[in-house]
Amino acid sequence: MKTKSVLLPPTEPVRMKPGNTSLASMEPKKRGKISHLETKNPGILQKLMAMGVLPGMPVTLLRRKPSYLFEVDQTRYAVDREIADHIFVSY
Amino acid sequence: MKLPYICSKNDCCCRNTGCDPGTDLPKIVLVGNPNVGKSSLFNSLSESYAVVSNYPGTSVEITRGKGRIGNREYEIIDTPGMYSLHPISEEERVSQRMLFGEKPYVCLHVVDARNLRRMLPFTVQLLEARLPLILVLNMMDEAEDRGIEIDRAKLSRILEVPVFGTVSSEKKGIEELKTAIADFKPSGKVPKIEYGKNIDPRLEEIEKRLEDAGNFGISKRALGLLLLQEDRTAFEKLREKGKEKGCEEKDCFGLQALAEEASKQADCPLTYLIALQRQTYVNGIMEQVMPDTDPGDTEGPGRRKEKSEAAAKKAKPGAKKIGLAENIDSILTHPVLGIPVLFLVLYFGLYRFVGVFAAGTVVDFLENAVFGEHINPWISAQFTALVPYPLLQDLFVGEYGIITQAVTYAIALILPIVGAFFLVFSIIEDTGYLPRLALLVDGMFKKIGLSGRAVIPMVLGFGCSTMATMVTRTLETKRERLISNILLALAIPCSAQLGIILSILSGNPKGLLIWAGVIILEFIFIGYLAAKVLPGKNPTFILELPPLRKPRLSNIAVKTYSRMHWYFLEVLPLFVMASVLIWIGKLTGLFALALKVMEYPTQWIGLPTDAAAVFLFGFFRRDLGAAGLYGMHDSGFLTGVQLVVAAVTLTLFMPCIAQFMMTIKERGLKTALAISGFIFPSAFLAGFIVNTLLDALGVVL
Ligand SMILES: Nc1nc2c(ncn2[C@@H]2O[C@H](COP(=O)(O)OP(=O)(O)OP(=O)(O)O)[C@@H](O)[C@H]2O)c(=O)[nH]1
Ligand SMILES: [Mg+2]
Repeated sequence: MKTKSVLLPPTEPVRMKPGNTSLASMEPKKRGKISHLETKNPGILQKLMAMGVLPGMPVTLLRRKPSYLFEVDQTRYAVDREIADHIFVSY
Repeated sequence: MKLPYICSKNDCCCRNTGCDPGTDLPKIVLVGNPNVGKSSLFNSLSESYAVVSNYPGTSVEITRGKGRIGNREYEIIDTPGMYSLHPISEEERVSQRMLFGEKPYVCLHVVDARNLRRMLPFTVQLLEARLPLILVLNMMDEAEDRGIEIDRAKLSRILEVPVFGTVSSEKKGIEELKTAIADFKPSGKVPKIEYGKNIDPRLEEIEKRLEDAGNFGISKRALGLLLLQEDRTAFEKLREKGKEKGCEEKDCFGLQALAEEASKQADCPLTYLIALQRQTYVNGIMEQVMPDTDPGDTEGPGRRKEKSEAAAKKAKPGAKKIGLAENIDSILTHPVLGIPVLFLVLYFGLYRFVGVFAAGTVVDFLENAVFGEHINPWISAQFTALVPYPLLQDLFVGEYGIITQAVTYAIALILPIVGAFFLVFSIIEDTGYLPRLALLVDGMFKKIGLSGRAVIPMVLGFGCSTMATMVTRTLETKRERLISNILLALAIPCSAQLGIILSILSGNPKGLLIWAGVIILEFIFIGYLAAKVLPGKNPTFILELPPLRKPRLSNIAVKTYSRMHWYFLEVLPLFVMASVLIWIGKLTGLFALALKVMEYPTQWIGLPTDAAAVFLFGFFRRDLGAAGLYGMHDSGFLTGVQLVVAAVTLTLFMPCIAQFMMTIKERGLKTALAISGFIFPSAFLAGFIVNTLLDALGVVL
């Protein structure tokens, strides 16, 4: 599989706008939207997408400790730092 | 209450194969994401029972049962949850293989109505695979509580499959579903999704090359999509087909090369492109069936607030329930408050209820009063009078006799303890506490090479490590599975053992703390060592947290009963066999010899030679060893220190035969032997160290 890191959606280049952060550094309790996913690690990417963490979905960070706890649409997920760094959010 | 007919094919702990219909009944296959209620639905449709719990990854094996719908019999198949047709963990692969292999009469795709948007892409995949489908929107009660409304008729028209709403835990909507199953006619429609220039032409090419390759169980388009995502099972299928056609090459149809080429040319993983296109297609459907809840890409925060208020008003009846669950949840997952909650659960659930009440009070009553004073003396007297042969008397009512030892231990000692344990355990499982625990311990578990997820098989291991060894399938990397298998075999005592040890040491709090401390230390030490030694990366942690739910009495009762049932069936024949073996051993003098050999390590850790029998039992089964220890404690043979040393050694001692077999199945013979070869000396070494230390410090317990 590819290891190149590409930001998606592929048709519109995504720049790191202000307000565009990784989930790990997102402000808790504030509502954002997933802008794109890091594609370096195909395993993690596949898992995230299969579980419904996809660009365009609304996201709220609920906790940073003891693990990252966030809500996408109606579902809650607990992830570690490494995975939280794979998800990018815009407000 | 329907009494379950316990069986699941290939289940380690249950050799009941009688319920595998195995005939040519039409098959109803339940598939869907984890924790959406597939097993609940299975229990409503079939005469069999599959375990239902509130965490993803409950079912890790396929369960088959028979069910009557209308006036026809069907084979009903429950599968482990999977997130998509393209699996990541092993239990998902079990389901995927099954879909490839069986020819279902109908597939019921079970989804959580609350999360339709997230789960519809899988429906689309199943349709692409041309599987005959009915869509079941389960958990309609929770969706209503949250004010979610779905236009089912419209959804059904768009997808051209029947769509039904159910509350499977309350058996609502089941009759309508059954009628639909009986009248089911597959529709020919396949959703036409465009995947873009990197994928579509290649899909066509694949379909063309496979034109006369025969049937794969799923459509060639779906197989092609899996091939492009380089799915292992898809390639295996292809190789099998190649072999049938007499082609011995690895890449018969040249598709591996094609897939590699495709992913080289695309500028990001094809999986990503495919998933995005599918979700876009699903979003289009969602707009039509749930018009007022789009995912939020077009609206500002102001409008969203208005809308959620409107939704909250609609959801009045459920709002309070949700609020309470929210509050409890924020305590359970709190980095500081979560820890005392954990200790409260352990103290009351495990120590007070299982250790002191069940293993202490109840066992004392059954073992000493009921069996010791009434049943056994009576049977012994009757038996001795009826059968005047001392040899047979010894076999049945002697010191290690079938009645006096095997049956007494199984009924008076093991059954109440595992019963109490499984009861507490079922309650914990059904609330949804386990995923919260996983979140809480992830940081600590990373230090021993595990992700927080591994806490689920570890906790299950306290019930029966054989069962838990199978559940390690839900862990993603081989390394993580191996480490958890080692720890399960080594440091996790099973419920019977734990209950007995808690009860023996309950009058001796310092001893209890020392025992617990040593076991925890060993757990951490071995885990840390394994993580250091084994090659590979630390696992990552991602887990879906299901909502906290109120446990249902009926589910707890059935689950506890079914687990006690299999445990008893598992334990009794082995206990009887142990009695018979000992009897033969005594006749041939082998028992005395084995005892003599075991006496060396026993003395070495500072125990009286009589305790050798306990370890000999322990070889057979952990719980039999613990039962032996209980007997010794009862007759007051051991001092406080000796009890602690014996408890430590026995806890760390050999896994039982069943678990050993399961480790072979999951990890292979070599690994299983290596694990056991390591455990035996290390258990005695730990016992030796504890004894020497306590001795040197002059501790009196
Ligand atoms: N409120 C509500 N809860 C339900 C419903 N159906 C199932 N549940 C609960 O959801 C949880 C999961 O149910 P299971 O049947 O074990 O789910 P599963 O799909 O078999 O899960 P896996 O085996 O992990 O894939 C249990 O706690 C059930 O009691 C429903 O219709 N409404
Ligand atoms: Mg299940």
